[in-house]
Amino acid sequence: MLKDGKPTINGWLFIALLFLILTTTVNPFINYKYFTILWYPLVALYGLWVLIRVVYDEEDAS
Amino acid sequence: MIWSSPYFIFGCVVVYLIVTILVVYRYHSEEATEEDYYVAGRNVGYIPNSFSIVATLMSGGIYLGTVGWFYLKGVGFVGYGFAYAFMVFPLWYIGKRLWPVGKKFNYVTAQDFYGDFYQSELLRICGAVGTVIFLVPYFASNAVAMGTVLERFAGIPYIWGVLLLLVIGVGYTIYGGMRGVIYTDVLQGVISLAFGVVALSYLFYAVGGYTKLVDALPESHTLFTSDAITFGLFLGWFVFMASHPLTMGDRMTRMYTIRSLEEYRRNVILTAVMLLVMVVIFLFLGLISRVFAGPDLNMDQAILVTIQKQAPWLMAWLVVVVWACGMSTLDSGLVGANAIISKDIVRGFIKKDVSQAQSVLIGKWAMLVFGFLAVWIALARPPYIWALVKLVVMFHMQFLPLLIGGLYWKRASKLGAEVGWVVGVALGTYYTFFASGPPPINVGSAPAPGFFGLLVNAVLFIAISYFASPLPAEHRAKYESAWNGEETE
Repeated sequence: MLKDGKPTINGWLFIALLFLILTTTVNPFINYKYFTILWYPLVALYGLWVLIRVVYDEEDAS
Repeated sequence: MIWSSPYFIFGCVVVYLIVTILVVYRYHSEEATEEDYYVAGRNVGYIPNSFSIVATLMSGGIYLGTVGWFYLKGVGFVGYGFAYAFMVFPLWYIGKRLWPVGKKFNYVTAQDFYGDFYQSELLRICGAVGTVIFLVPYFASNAVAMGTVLERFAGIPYIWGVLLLLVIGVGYTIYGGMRGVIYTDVLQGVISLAFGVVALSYLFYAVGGYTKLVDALPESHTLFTSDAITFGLFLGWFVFMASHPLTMGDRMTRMYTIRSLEEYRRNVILTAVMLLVMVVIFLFLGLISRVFAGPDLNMDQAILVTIQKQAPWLMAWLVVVVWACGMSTLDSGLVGANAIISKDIVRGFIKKDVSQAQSVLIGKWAMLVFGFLAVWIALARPPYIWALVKLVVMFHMQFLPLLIGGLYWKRASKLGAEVGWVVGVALGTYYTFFASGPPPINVGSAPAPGFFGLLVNAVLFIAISYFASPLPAEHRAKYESAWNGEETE
């Protein structure tokens, strides 16, 4: 996820994942009655997509 | 047909145990070598390895406890789920470097790596002894859950349930070694996840669908409150659940058992998918239980009461699931602990010339002793058993900085690793038994006594390693050659 000390595209996608996770309880945009419960599966699916990119991206996997 | 009849429920448990024994008879370690007995000959495919990781994470009380937490806290408990969504990334990055060095140097325990890489007998022996001491109460906590549900729903006296676990669980683990453990994990994982899918589908229909479920829940379960307590609960569970699967001695070995790095890629992704499904099941079962069982129950009772009221035909399956989850955690821990006893403690410090066959034999005897100790604790049912479970996680999470640092940071030093780890364990022990503290310590029972220990540990490890001598270049080069694919693929 890092190349020459800088985040790659996968690195930025991972940083975005961490941001979404760690701001969950204070994120006003998701705090809607019918949406909060769906927040976990949505973010986890996004995380799964990033994971697949990371694991199969040869640049990161080397 | 009376689905909740004790005879029917006990009959289902007996059938499950017979199938488990048949699986171990079919898949067991055949050679008396450490590699075969403790890491299944490093020849496990990605599907059984993934089931083994997930089934081992699902401890005996998970369907009662974790569903209970969602019942109690609603969305406030999702830090638990996000931990797994995050944890699979370090699972990949740690495993892809640990697997080749395990293969190159014939590692079968976590302490093999810490002791050899950091050239530290302190990390090897203290880590080994601590792991063994702390794992036994963890085994016992599983036995408590299993004995309790069997007593309540099958009418079997608690003591007989615990003894049944000892005879069958310890017996098949001694016979089957790690290969037996992994393939019984497949059975146990399938039983547990299939139950979740069936129960959730049925109860979701019974509650009237998503909008009716949300409408029936109180705001406390559907909305976040942006205060320190909520964030502490979130962070506490996040750190607790994300760190220990990577560092607990018995679980780390799944990074050694996999057949190849290509298989490991698939292993990590399949594990992530199964963990996502598992958390969604727990999340919705907890929320549905809140609707059907009402707000006043002890959290461990929520799913039991819901199933009893709404789907009694699932009760026997739920009891089998508690047993399957408990056994999958117990057997894995037993093999892990015994590898540590025979390889790290006996060969490392007591009798260096012990043969492979003797080492395996020592491990089998140790397994029997641990089984009896766990039963003894389970029968005593000490009130501080949850504190001991928190202690085992706190202890293992302190290995995280030196594990990641060792694998990825060239300046990682022996002094930094030792000082950071010792201070982290001391601070975590202090918060476990003697202190309250700022969030996430003791927030809503978040099991985070190791949080500040981990923080201080990481800072000390990095700061000291900047100034201390790094590991000798020729020593590190041996590991780098394995990471670069030389001599392993």
